[in-house]
Parts: sequence; structure tokens; C-alpha cells
Amino acid sequence: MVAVETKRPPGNAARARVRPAPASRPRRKRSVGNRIVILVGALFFVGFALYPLAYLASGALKSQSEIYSGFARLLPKHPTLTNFHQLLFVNTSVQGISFFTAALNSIFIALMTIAFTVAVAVPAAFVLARRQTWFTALVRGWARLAQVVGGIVVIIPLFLILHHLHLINTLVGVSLAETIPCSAFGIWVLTAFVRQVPYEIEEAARIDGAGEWGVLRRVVVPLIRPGMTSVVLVVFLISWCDFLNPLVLLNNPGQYTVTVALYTYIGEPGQTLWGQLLAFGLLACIPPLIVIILAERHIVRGLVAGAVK
Amino acid sequence: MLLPVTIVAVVLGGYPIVTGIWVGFTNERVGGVFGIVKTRFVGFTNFRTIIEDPLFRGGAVLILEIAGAVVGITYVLAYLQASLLNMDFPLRRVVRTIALLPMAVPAVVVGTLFGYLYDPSVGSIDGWLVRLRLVKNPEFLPDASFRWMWIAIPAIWMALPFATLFLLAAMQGIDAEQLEAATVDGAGWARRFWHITFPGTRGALAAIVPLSFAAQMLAFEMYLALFGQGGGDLASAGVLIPTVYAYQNLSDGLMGRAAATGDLILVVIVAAFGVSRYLSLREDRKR
Repeated sequence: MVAVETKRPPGNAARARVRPAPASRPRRKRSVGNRIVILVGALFFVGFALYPLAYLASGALKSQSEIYSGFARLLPKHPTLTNFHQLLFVNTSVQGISFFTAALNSIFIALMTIAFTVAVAVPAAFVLARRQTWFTALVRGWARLAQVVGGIVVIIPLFLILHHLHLINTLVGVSLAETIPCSAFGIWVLTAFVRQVPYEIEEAARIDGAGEWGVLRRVVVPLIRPGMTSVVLVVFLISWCDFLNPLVLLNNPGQYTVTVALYTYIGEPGQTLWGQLLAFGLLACIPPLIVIILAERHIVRGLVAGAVK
Repeated sequence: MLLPVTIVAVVLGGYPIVTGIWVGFTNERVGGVFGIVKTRFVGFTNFRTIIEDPLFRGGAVLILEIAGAVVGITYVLAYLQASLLNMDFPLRRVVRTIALLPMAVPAVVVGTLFGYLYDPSVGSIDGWLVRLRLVKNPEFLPDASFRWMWIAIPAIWMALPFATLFLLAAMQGIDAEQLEAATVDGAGWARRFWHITFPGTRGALAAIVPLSFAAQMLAFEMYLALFGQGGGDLASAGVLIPTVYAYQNLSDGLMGRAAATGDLILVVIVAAFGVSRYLSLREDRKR
């Protein structure tokens, strides 16, 4: 047992880091002043988070004439679904882009990115957690770098590489580009989880004749499933919100993702159809909002584990 | 052996970054307009062109100001928010979920949305400022002296949830008994924070601040969308933040110049990590 304990590097406890807050402690009686401070603080932060979102929803429900009628009140006087109707069914395009097509493209890219990320990150995390050589140190360093540095710094070589591979203007190409930061993140999170798998279980499986892949598939993967859930959900968020990769790597409006399609709606200054644009923005937020609200614990665990060493 | 997988990982990740750095030193171009230009090493030519460009210089200064302000303000707010969420009060979980919601909003939507809020003819912020008699003239965005402040707000709005989560996790690692004991001994909130909470989270803070700074330096679509509207005056004022500058060169097919801009961003990020590492090493040595 002792030997097993020493195999785990200390201080890398992804699970221990995000404890469910101290709800178990009995609630202390607070003074009135204390309660007021908490109330004011809570109101401030809730207001700060919700103010822009409330205006996103409110603007999406206003008609164009109401939007331009002076002071923007939060509650629309005549709430209307015209913007959504126009956006989804009538005026499906500024440049022939339909919201539904864009949403399908986004979902397809996200699913591909999730598949690639899991395929790269799970075996890599297994190796990195169990072996300490100069090579694993190098990969770890890379994973750090790729997690920190991305976006415009990497898009140029990616464009050139995908150009050579004839993957420009393909959804798969965008997925491959997104896989780089996502797999770096996944490796980081999953290494922490693999380290918590007791080495004995692996040994036992090996003695029973399982190979490396067998150990990974039958022993490690079932035990790191919570970590994998976090990775899958966070990768979905990253991919859905990604803008630069699809913007640069796709030229055909029929392939645009939701974020890029939204950007084409912005139009020239002074000619913005604010109602439809905000309706589009609201629709673009709905899948990530659902994921965050339903799977908050998984997301939080993944993000925190992914950011620390 | 699973080494092949890690090799794939290196190829996927290491190669683009190294190539990216290299392209900055070449005259690589893409696109029919140029015909065939033989790619060759051009030394620091791209860098000289960029640095001599006032559009870039103004933008670089602006983004450094914004990034500094955003990181500073975000972590002050994050400490407050995390301290709040670390306390036990009714509806705490609801408040936490609401505080996380900005993470669900794609950055391009954030830029669009704040463009809407800031737009003097349709947005709400000007209206409030006039009603509160803070400004007389409702068109405040062209006012250069406050420009960075308005641009920093959406960036802070986006960065705050993650910063809070991270500090909250670090705070939950602090021994509750220690805080309890300090309270019994009569230490107020400020002293508990200064002597227990802050030292207990400083390691986490040192790890995360350079990461946040890097994220600010690389922020792109939020500014693109914001400058497309309410912040459009910024672009016409003759500055382009480096990521947008790189993107413009990229759309023009000037790969070398775009990559060189990326290299400059990379240098700043690496420098930030170096400074942070140096400072925390010096802290450790003091103990």
C-alpha cells in the first residue's frame, strides 16, 4: 500500500481540488452588517453577470423601430418574435447563410473535435502519467505551451499545413485545428486523473495477461470517466465558441459555423439589423448555456484541473 | 508502447508553433494576387515593417494597457467574488451558477453585445450615464481618454468567471480551522484575508495570472466584433490591436508579416511567464 502511495506525485489531486463547498459546516448566525455585505456583494455580482445577458434577450425581443426609439429600456414595450422568425425562416441569409446550416456545421465540428481530442488525449495522458523520461517531459512542456499559445500565433502555420493537405474549406480541417489546444487541455486534465488510478490494479491486469492497450481500455478508461466527461464538455464549449479557426480555414458560406455566420450579420456601421443580430447572438448562446447549467460540476472540475499543474 | 500517440501529439502541437515562428522571418505569401513568390528568409524585415507602422504601434500600446487593466481588475473582483461564494448563505449555488454564465457566451457575441450596449443611438449605457448626469454628451466612445476603460469592461466580464472559479478552488484548499481560529482570536475580515487567505492562494495566483495575461494578448474576435460597431471609432482613430493587425495581414495573404506579428505576441507572452517565474522563485528563496 505504501509503495502505491509513493507512486502518486503529491499535490496533483484534480478531484480533491474542487470539493463541494463547505455546505457540511453548520450555518453560523451572522450579524446584520455581515448579511448586508453578503446581500450587496451577491446583488452586485449577479447584476454584473446578468446585465449584458438581460439586454441580449431584451434586444432580441424588440422590433427594429423600438430599438431605435431612444433610451433602451430593459423590458420591451411590445415584445415580439419577429426577429427570430425573420432570422430562422424568412430572411435566412445575408450571404446565403441559414442559421440551421450553421448550427449543424458547429455541431459536426464539435463532435469531430471531441472524437479527435479523446483519441489523442486519453492514451497520451496514460503515458505521461506513468512514465518519467526526457520525452514525456518534452510532451508535457508542449501541452503547456499549446494550451497557452494559440489563436493567431498558430493559425498561420496551420493554414499552410492544411493547405498542403487539401483540408482548407473542410469541416474536418477546422476540427483538426481545434484539436490542438483541446488535446493539450485534455492531456493536462486526464494526466491528473490517471495518476489517481492505483497502480496495483494495472499490475493485476498485466499479470492476467492484458497488454498496454488492454490496460488502458479495460482498467484506466473506466476509472477516469469523470475526467473524460469534463474534457468532453469543455471541448464542446471551446469548439462551439471558436471563431478564428473557422473564420480563416473556411471560405464557403455554406460551411460557416454559428460564430462566423453571426459575424457576417454585423454588417456596415449604421446598417446593423440589431434585433436579428441579437436574436442570433442569443441562439448562439443557448447550447453552451444548457451545458453549463446542467453540467456545472463537470465543467468546473475540468477547468480547474486543466489550469493547474 | 504508446509512444506513437505522443509523437502524434508533438507533431500536432510542436510543429505549428515552430513553423509559425519561422514563417515570420520569410516573405511567404498566399493568394492569386501575388502569383508565385519564392519563399525565402528575409531576416527581420517583417518585424521592422510592423514596428514602424503606427497602426500597429498604437494598437500594441493599447492592448498592453488593456491587458494590464483587465488582469488587475479581474483578479481584484475575483477575490471578492470567490470570498463571497466561499461563504455559506442561502441561494449561494444559484449565485455561483449565475456568475458562471458569461463563460457560455462566445466571445464574438460578447463583442457584438457590448457594441450594442455602447452604441450611442441604440444602447443602454449612454442613456444611463446621461440620466445619472455622469456625461453630458452621449457619445462617449470617441473620447480617447476613457477608451481603454470601456474596452476593458467586456474583457473583464468574460474573464471573471474562470478567475473566480480558480481562486475559489484554491480558497477551498485552505484549512477551515485556521480561519476559524483567527476569527475566534478576533481577526477581522481584512486581517484574515491578508494573513491567511491571500498567502494561501498566492501560489495559485502566480500560476494563473500569466495565463490570463496571455489570453488577453491573444483575444481577437471580441475586439473584431466590438470594433465593428460601437468601438469602430477606435479603428478609425488609427490603431489596430496586434491580433487584428495580424488577421488583416493574413486576409491580405501576407503570411510572413502576419506570422511576424504573431511572433511579437509570443515574445510578450513568454516574457510575462518569465517575469512571473522569476518573481515566484524569488519569493520562495526569501522563505
